[in-house]
Amino acid sequence: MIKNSVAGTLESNDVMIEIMAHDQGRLIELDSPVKDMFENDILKVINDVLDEFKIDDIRVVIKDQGALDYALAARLRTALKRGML
Amino acid sequence: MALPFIRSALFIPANNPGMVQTAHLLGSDAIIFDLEDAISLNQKDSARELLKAGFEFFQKDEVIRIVRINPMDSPYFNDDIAMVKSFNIDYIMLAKASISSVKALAEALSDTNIKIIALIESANGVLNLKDILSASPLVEGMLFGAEDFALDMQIERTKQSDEILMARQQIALTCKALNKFCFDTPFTDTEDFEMLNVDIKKAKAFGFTGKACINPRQVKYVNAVFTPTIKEIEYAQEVIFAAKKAQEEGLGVFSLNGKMVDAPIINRSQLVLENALKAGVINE
Repeated sequence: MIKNSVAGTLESNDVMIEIMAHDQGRLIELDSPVKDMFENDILKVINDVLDEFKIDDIRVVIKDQGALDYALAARLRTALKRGML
Repeated sequence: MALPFIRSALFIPANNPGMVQTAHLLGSDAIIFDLEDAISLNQKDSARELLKAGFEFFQKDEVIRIVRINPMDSPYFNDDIAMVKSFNIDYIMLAKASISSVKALAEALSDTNIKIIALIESANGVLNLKDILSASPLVEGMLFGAEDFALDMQIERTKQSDEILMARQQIALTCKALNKFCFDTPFTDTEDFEMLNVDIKKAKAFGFTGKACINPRQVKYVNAVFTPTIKEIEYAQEVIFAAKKAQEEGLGVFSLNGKMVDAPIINRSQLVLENALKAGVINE
């Protein structure tokens, strides 16, 4: 079970990630100034962390401010730990 | 045991990715990634997670990594230790260090290579410093936190710092006696570089081995004061050269430029040259 939770900030180099319950696979919504160049890379980081937590059904809303991979992964891990019941 | 050469230790908030990923470029000898006062109570988990990922993502360079954790009487102490002990870092700085909290931390770190820096920020902390620093061999040094110390003492903090004179001198004396490094308290006015310089020189004169910084712009001033000057280096080189010559001639004490030179001066000169080498101002 997943409850709504959020981690991160909207400051430069950071990312705010919100997770919500979802029952039809992974729904990932990305808003990023570097989406055109790095969308696939960002989605890979997100999917890798979701694999790590063995989560198949979830909605993830990402508001990226230019975060590097490690920050993306850390913020998602925090949101998941806060939101996993 | 040779003490590490740490002139400046710069505090940065552990929950700010922009700072976490650029901190090692700011010129300080050490970075203190702060999980305590710089992190709001509902973001401790987020900061720990960010640091963990950051330390795995960025290769460690020569800049010393220190993580300041929350004190033992806080609800975050155990969670901090549980996660931070797996980090690729050099030191954990323990806020409000006491004999019991140092022992608890040392026990938790017994299967790691991480060492301890005690943060001393109360009247009891200053009075018990010798026992706190001796509570575990993992304790290699300390930082004096004068703002909380002044709060505990119910005294006003001033830029001149006369109110912490005795505490500073007692701390430096104790650390010297136990062969521990000691960082002086940060100078909190980040715009007043003239008084910052006065404050750093005072700390060095008392025997502190370095100073904490709370703004990157303070780093160069701290590094400059704690780096041996050309004059000190030249004199130390003269002493070492003369000492070698005296040894060849079988002399224990000798005269240099009209002044007597004996073992303490030779040892001090050796230290000046070692520090100058570490600071990169002289070559082998």
